[in-house]
Amino acid sequence: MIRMTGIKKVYTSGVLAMEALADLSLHVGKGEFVAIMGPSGSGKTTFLNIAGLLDSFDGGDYLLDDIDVRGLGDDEQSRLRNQKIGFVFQSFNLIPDLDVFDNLDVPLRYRGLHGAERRRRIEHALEQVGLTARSRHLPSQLSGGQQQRVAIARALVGEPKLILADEPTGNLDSVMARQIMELLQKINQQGTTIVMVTHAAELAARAHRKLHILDGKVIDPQARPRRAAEAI
Amino acid sequence: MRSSPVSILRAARRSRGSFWFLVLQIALGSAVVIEMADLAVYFLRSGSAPIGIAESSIFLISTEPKGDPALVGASDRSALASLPGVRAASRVACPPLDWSIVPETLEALGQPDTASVGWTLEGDAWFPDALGLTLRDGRLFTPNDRSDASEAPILITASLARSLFGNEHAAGRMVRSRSRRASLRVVGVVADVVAKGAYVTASKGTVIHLSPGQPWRTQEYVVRVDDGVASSFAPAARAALERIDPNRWIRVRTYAEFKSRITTNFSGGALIVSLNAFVLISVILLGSLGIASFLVAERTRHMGIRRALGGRRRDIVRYFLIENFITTNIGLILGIPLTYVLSLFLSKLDPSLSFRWSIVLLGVVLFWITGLLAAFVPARQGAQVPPTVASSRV
Amino acid sequence: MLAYYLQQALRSLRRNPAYSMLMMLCLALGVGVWISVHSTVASQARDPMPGPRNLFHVELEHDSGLPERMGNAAGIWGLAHLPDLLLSYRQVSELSRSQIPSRSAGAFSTQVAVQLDDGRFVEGPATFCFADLFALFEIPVLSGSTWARSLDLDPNANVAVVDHDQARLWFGNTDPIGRKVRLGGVEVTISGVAASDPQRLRLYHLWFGGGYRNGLFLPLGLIERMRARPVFVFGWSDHDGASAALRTLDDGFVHFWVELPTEAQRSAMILLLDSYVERERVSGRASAPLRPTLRRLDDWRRNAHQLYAGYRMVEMLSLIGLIASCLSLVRLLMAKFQIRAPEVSVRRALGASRRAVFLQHIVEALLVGVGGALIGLLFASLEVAMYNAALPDRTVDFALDLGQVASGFGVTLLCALFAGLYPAWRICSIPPAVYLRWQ
Repeated sequence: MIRMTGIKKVYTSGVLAMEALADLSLHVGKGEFVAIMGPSGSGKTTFLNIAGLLDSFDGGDYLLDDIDVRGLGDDEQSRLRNQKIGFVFQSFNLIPDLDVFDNLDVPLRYRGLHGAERRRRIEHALEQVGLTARSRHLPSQLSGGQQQRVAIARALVGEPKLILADEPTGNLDSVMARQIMELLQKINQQGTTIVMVTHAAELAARAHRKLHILDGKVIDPQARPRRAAEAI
Repeated sequence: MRSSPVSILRAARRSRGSFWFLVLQIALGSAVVIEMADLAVYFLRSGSAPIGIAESSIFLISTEPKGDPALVGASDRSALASLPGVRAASRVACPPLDWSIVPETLEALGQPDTASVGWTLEGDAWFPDALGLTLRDGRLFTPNDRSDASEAPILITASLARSLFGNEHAAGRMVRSRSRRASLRVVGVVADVVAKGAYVTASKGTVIHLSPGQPWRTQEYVVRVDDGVASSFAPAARAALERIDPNRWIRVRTYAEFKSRITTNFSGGALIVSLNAFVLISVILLGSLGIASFLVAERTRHMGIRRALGGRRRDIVRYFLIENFITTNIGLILGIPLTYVLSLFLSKLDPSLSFRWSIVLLGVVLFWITGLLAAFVPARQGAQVPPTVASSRV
Repeated sequence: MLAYYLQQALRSLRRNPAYSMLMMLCLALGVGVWISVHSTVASQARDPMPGPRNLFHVELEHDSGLPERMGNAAGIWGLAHLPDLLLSYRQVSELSRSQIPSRSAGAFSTQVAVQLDDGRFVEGPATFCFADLFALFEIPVLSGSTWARSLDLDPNANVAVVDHDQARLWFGNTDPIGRKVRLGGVEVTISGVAASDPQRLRLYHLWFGGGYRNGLFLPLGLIERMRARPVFVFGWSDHDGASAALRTLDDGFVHFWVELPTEAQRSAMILLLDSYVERERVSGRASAPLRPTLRRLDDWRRNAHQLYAGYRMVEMLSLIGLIASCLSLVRLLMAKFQIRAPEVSVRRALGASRRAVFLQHIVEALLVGVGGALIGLLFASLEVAMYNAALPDRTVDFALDLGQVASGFGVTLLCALFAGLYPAWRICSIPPAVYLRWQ
């Protein structure tokens, strides 16, 4: 699913250049559930941004679902993001003045689907997270756990092949956290690749394998998966 | 905690590029506002520019006699002259500000290089006195002067005398009128009076011809009265004229009333121009205020940090004011060339509207004040931000 | 997709109603001035007789003795050398005998005092002319009739045609035809009513005293009997009050218009004028004409209405005002879009392309443009009313011109579009990672 080789990312500001990623190589197979761990400043967020085509990189190769992203223009990258990737942010990132339905609507609009089809998918996604009753609520009217579920529903609504998540349970209490993790595992069992950044070891334990990033590099990229086949 | 102007400027420039748009706005706006203010003042001054006569106590009377215009005209004049409080009454062909005043080219006899333009007034022998003109040299007209003489007498204003004869005595000299193709004798020089146009730079070069009367039916008289009589003169004049030739059209008004018509148009023009200038300033001001209030959140963290680092409220306010001051000044400096270009256009309308540093100064002060107002809101808000903002997790 | 952008744009504007109002107001201020100025200029500068015409202004250029440079007053006066071009009464009466033009008309305008049949005196302009003036300048005669051509130069004519609006002022709603008025010692009977058209008036009636409308049309021959006062005339002192003065006076003060539909007529007319000028020169008259010109109507209009420089200037000033408004709008939009950068980054993450973000924000800018245009229209109508109130001596009433309003709308949308370009481009160019907070 994700095949990165020698990724380099440098941030320049004025005369200062900072290497966020030095020589990052990793490989996530289709259907895998991978946890990424590492101290703050190690480049985890940078990795997520690049993986999600949210930012450019300065060296190396990146194949997303066997597509080389480097040759792609903005339109194509946006389409890839829209069709193949779903994001789950720790801070939810729901658009505050759109209700739940309209929040889920956003990625579908950019896919150019008709009203009926959009409605169907939204309702299905809400069902999957168990929030059908709240489709007309604003995010501010929902609890943290509900907001995160909406965010996950938004990530699912486009039926992506890959979900990128950063501390998806970071702002939730333990009960909620467990529910979310179970949901993620269920989604993964249905075939969606999940790459999750986390500090918490017990969350990482639910993943198939763990990768550690330190100083912009991956340590132990070929660690053996604990279960599930590695599809190439 | 003091920030150097340079660092403030650098921070401002980095702030979203809105900086250059504001600078451009100020450059454009200041140039236009300065020129419009100049134009508005010009209009206002023009409307009230004095023409060199005592406007409130000199009357212009127009009438259309039923009988023989020449006879009635002569009788009218005598009757007006003998009314109480009247200093002088004259019959005129071309009084000041009349719509048919034309200029003519005069030259000192035999010296074509002294050719000067004088605007023409025409009236009888009592005309100069009726206008209350001060004699500078020579004499005014007398009833013995003949307009059909080989050397018809004229009076010229001091300005015209200077351009024809320099510092020499003008009285008694001969001039040639190219327009009339005749030689004329200057019998006297009078104080400057404007013949045509109430503009600020209306020409003060006037030549006064003696005319026995005009052949067209409308008769006009210029009458100078004592100050005390002015308010009650009109009905008395009307009655006197009615006695001579009843049931005819008569119009009596002072030069002040005559001019006020012109003034209305000028002040109207000034108003319109001022409106546009006001719109421009408002637009800039509104824009700045709107953005300032909108971007409060952006500023809050920055200001909170400064306060946490020891900045006083005063320093915050000073920071905003300096930032605004620098931006405004850059815009004003960039606007000066545009001001110059616009003034070139306006000076075609009237040379007094040419580029002057004094008007630039006016614009500078105006925009400093505007800038102060615009900076006031964010300055006050920024100063209210508590230092605890710095440590809060956003 | 456009519907979605519209929906999101409306939502965005509604979210900050005061700010949106401010943006529209900023734009509206500049737009209002732009529309009112352009409308005003259009109503002033409108060509009342557009298109190629067969109407020519006959000019006999001579040395009137007026100076080359008339000082700055000439700028306002406009026609510095008009007296050099006009014909004397004698010349008009002689040239009008020619059979070459299909029709011709002499004309000159002045100020007269009129006594109405109820004894009231009124003051107003009058145009002394030929009957064909109405046909030549397409002035509709609303009721009654003008006079027979034979009366054009007849000093004993006693008819007049009254301007419609002036008749309303003088006589109220009663029929003016058949009524008698007295002017210049002569009683004339009103035989017809002509339509009022101040714009057209300015073609044949050059007035320097302010924006009066026309009052009466009278046969040219009457000027001598009425001893009406012409403009631009010198040397009255030579004529000592003789009433025949106007007829024999050499100074030019009368306009002469001819209709020459065919090329043959035009050539013939030029030949006639050349030989006429030659005869005049030979006769030794002091102000003998130097050269004749047949000036087309549109050329005359361009020459005569020197206020164009003033028009261009106010138009330019209003353009700068509009640009300043746009700049304000750019800054306001930039600030607003900047605040929304996080939301935009989320949309980008969800698959919005740069183009989609760009379009969405352009639509928002355009919506501001629509609002600004509507409010600007309101401002413009207020401003035009103010112009009318402030300038009582205007020639033509200022009014909102429909064409200008429509183009003003278009210009506003264009301005909003341009104003939105940079902010929208900036917001869509930000890499999503910059404002996206994972945590």
